[in-house]
Amino acid sequence: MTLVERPEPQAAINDVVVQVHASGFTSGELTWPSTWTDRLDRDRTPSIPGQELAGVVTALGYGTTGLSVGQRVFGLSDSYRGGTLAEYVAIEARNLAPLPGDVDFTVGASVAMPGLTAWQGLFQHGRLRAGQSVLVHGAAGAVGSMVTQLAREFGGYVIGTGRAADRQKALDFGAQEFVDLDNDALEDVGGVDLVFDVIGGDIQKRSAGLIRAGGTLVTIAGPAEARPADGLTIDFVLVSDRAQLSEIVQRVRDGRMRTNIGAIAALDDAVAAFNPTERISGKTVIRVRP
Amino acid sequence: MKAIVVTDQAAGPAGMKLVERPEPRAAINDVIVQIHASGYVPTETEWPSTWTDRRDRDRTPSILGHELAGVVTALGYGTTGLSLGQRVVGLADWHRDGTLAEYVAIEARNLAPLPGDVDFTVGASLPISGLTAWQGLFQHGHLQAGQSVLAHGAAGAVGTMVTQLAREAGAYVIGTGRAADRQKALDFGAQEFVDLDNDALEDVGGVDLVFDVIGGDIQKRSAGMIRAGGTLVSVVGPTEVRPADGLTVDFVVESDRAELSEIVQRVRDGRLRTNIGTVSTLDNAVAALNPTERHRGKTIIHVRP
Repeated sequence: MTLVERPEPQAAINDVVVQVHASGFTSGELTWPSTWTDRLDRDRTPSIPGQELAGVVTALGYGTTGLSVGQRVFGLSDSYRGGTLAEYVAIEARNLAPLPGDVDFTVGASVAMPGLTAWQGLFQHGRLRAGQSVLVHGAAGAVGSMVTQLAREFGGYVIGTGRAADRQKALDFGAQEFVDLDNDALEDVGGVDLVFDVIGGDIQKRSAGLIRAGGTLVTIAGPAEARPADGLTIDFVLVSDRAQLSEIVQRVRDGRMRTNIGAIAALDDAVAAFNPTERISGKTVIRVRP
Repeated sequence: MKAIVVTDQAAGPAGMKLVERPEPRAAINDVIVQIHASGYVPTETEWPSTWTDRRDRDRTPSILGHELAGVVTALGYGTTGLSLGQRVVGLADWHRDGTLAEYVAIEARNLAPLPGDVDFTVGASLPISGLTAWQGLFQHGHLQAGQSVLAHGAAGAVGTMVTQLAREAGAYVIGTGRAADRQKALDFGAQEFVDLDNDALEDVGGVDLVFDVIGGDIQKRSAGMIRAGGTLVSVVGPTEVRPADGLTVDFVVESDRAELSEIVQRVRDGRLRTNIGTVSTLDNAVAALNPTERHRGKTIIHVRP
């Protein structure tokens, strides 16, 4: 990663250009093929990473509707375009939602990806119902803390997991039990209805064995061989969705959801911030405009 | 696979060729659809998105056609919501290879399920005209029951959808077109018809919503007829024309699964009739899409017999 000068982007059809105030980055981005090639598999470097953003609309593309110049917005760019770790980004309007005036840009940029991932995993793919139990891996992390809060709000019983140091944070976000994956026996949890997997590997496999009949293993760790004995496995990549973004930001406004920001840095310091010397729990947000 | 491509912008639609192209691969959250029927808009070779990608780089040879009905044959990394073997209908991305081909790679969110009792040919005729009408009337025009709608080109692909959806929503529809279009416009539900060559448009009086597909002088005169609080909705691009006390909205249609499902459901239960003109095969598509006479209704290419 290097900080360089790049031309400002132009709005394509149904795009807007957003002046980025705050930007989020997921470390996995550098392993995604979409960071390196376009949908026709052609080299697209130099690629600007960053998918999450909050900012202000400065231009509309041909035919764009639904957003206005000067409007505060937040959302998630196309993974084949990326580009939010920059002063401006061109992005399809449908990938953005209005950001209310009382929600800080830093908060907006921090909730887009974890919030949508949690929402889609729990409700679209996991079909969570009140009274069901949810095993939330990485419960103190950026995604896990959102999964925990949303699952609790909708009446789920949440068992969080993580490392020993994550226990208090996971409980603070609403987990009713906590399993220290290094020291506790995962199988002691008993049966669960939904597993929200962000890890893969052996933990995913063992978690699948805990799922009750009719339950679901939802994973964001890629295609999985693990299947519950009598249930579904769904792996997914999140898709930006204006209505869901609005549901999430509304919950942030009224206090039903807290964001999980681990570190905030300026664009000039972003390269160092993404290569931390110690483990950061929560989301790193880059404040592009002070 | 076989596909209809263009490579020379200067040649326009006459540059269409039937060629062999590699089968597309599914990107993240894409599906691959085996195309059964495909729709094409006659102005596609004029759109910048046919020639360049979103970063303005040359993307030729470009496969034309944006509407499709077909069957899902592969899922991309992380794709959910659609299954292998599922019948689907939808609208391809303007900046990607299109649907006049045996296969297309397309984001799953741009597709909706196509019920088993709706023919692929019918399905492929709906996305652009149906979504354009839906978004123009309801999202941008905020149409309410009891309002009056001036639907230009009321016998055309978009106009017939506008007329039917506006009538169903409780609006009063005044269609326009050429003299020969009168009966067809009335058959699709227009309550009045204005022959733009021979009648005086201004005799219509005030309207609440103008659905413009023509632009130019007709657009300007139509704006003058809009009542306070009304809207001029246009699909012909940015315009300076404004109603005296109202809004102008120009837009480019976007695919939307929920809206596609609303449209398909209306076709199933008879509330919406599609307006198919000619049906041809992929081998004959170049000729069918460059007709010597005026288009009447939508031309559909049946890719799989």
